[in-house]
Amino acid sequence: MSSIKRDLRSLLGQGLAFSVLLFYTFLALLPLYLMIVSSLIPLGVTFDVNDLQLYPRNPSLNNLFAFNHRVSGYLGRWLINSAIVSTLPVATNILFGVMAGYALGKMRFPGSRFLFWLMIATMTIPQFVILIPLYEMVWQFNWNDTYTALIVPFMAGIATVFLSRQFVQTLPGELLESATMDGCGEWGLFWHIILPLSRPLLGVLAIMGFVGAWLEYFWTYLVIDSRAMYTVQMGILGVLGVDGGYAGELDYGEIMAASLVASIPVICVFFAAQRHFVKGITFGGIKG
Amino acid sequence: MLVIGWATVPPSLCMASYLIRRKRAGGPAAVSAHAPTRLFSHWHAAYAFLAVAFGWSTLFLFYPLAKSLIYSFTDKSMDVQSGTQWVGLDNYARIIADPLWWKSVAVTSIYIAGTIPYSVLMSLFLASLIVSLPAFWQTFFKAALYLPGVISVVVSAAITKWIFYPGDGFANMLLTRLHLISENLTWFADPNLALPTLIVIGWLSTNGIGVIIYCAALGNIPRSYYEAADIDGATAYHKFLRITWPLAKPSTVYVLITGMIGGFQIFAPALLITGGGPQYTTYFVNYRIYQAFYHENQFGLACAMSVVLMAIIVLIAVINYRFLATDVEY
Repeated sequence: MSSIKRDLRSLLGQGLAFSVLLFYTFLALLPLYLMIVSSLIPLGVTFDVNDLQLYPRNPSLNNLFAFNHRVSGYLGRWLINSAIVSTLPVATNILFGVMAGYALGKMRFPGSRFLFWLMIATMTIPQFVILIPLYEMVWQFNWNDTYTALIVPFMAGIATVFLSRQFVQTLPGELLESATMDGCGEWGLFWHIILPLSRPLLGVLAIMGFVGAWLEYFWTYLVIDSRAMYTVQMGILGVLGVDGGYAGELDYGEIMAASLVASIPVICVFFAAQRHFVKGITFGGIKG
Repeated sequence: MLVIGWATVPPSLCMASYLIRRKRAGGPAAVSAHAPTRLFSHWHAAYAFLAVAFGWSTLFLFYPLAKSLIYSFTDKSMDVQSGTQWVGLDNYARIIADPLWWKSVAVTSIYIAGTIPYSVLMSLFLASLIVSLPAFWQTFFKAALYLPGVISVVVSAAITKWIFYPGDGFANMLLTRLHLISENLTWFADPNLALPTLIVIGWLSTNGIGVIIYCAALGNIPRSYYEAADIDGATAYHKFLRITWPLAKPSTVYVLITGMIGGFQIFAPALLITGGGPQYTTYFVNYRIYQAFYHENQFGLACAMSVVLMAIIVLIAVINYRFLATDVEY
């Protein structure tokens, strides 16, 4: 009797938990849903109460074409720019990061503890401390308005090194020792043993790096002037206006359509590699 | 979606987890289980492997950092002709005398106080609900709650602007339908409403990262603890207070530290939605720095401000770490 009662209670508890979670999921995804719906229907600045469409009745891509027309056909170029700046520097960043992570995780050398704490300390650096001199540097080198400004500063970074170190450290050292016995050099060890074993790490770094770079907008806003060099985020920002100002007449249907297009790559990556995100977040390995 | 307050926590913040884990594990000795065992003679190879990553970071991270520290004592600007003078502590004195700076600190503090505690507790609450479900639904809810985190802040800002449109926007329409308001609110144009609206958006947007971290933590607590508590007749409240809360504490520290560090650097809503207004009610610290740097062309002052911000962030991290990190072992 008591076990039936307990089962019933746990079932009831699960049902309650389920409904609360469903409600929060609804809240979390509602804006995304509104974006999708409104990007497919004609929409002005305001919301017509009497003509509320919870699903698009006559879906069309007119908003998207209208947006592309408004920005003089640059949308495709912006997507390409975004793809370039969120793959090229990410790839080199990962390669150099794993190399350094291998050294920090598997080798003992003078200064390793110092470098380690130096990496930890960098997490307290607010973005403007770096951005202001970097901005000046870009102007000095005449890098403004070029791919160089969007790519070169981000071709290697501390965060990747740190995560790589944490991962490489957990790899078995015996493999490295036996390979050394067989006459494998340091580069061979890295290329033939560490890199293949680090595949889960590479997945996490690639995905987080890609998404992070795809979402970046502020640095682009600082160093890019000409429309042809915009990333897609910057393109939307340009139509949206900054500093609370409006950049002319806003048509939210068009902006939502562009937003949807800008979001599709990261959403696809997210669904394809959802596990990696979860892994990446809990990577430092906090337990409890 | 409306994750403006959170957006994506930069991967560098993953490092915070290391500190907490280290403390939990009881210091360096416990961490060195996987410590490097390779020969000391390899050190030149080690430097070769480190060279690119740290060389690059020296050029584009440490060198700018040093420059920022130096600029904070000068009247540096983009104006090349006027030259740069050493002004000592003038910039720091100007910050102390700058009413806008203090306003921005107050606004940011209110925002943090209004959002972070709620966000931490809500993440823990949702995570504790999620871990009681079957595996498929765990994955589903974790993904669904994290999905808004991969939407860019620019897109989030566009959606927010649209939902909170002062005229017949979605929010106004919804609240009118529910008979909660009789006339349209102006949201971000109303000095009394702009910051509270941002805070409420912070509440409605679930902190997906926090939820995932708590899920991992709660999943690691042995079932037997709860079963033992059940046998002793413990209530759900007591189980939470005596088992879940203390054992999830390292995660709480992590979510709190990253939340507060991220919160103090909140910037996007001011840049993309409100412009710091109306009447400076959403003038966040980072927006003050941005104004000094980008619009007032006072690099020296902006650098000094960001150095002060860095000091604040270090202080927050240290305080949280010292007072909250505990040795939990099970």
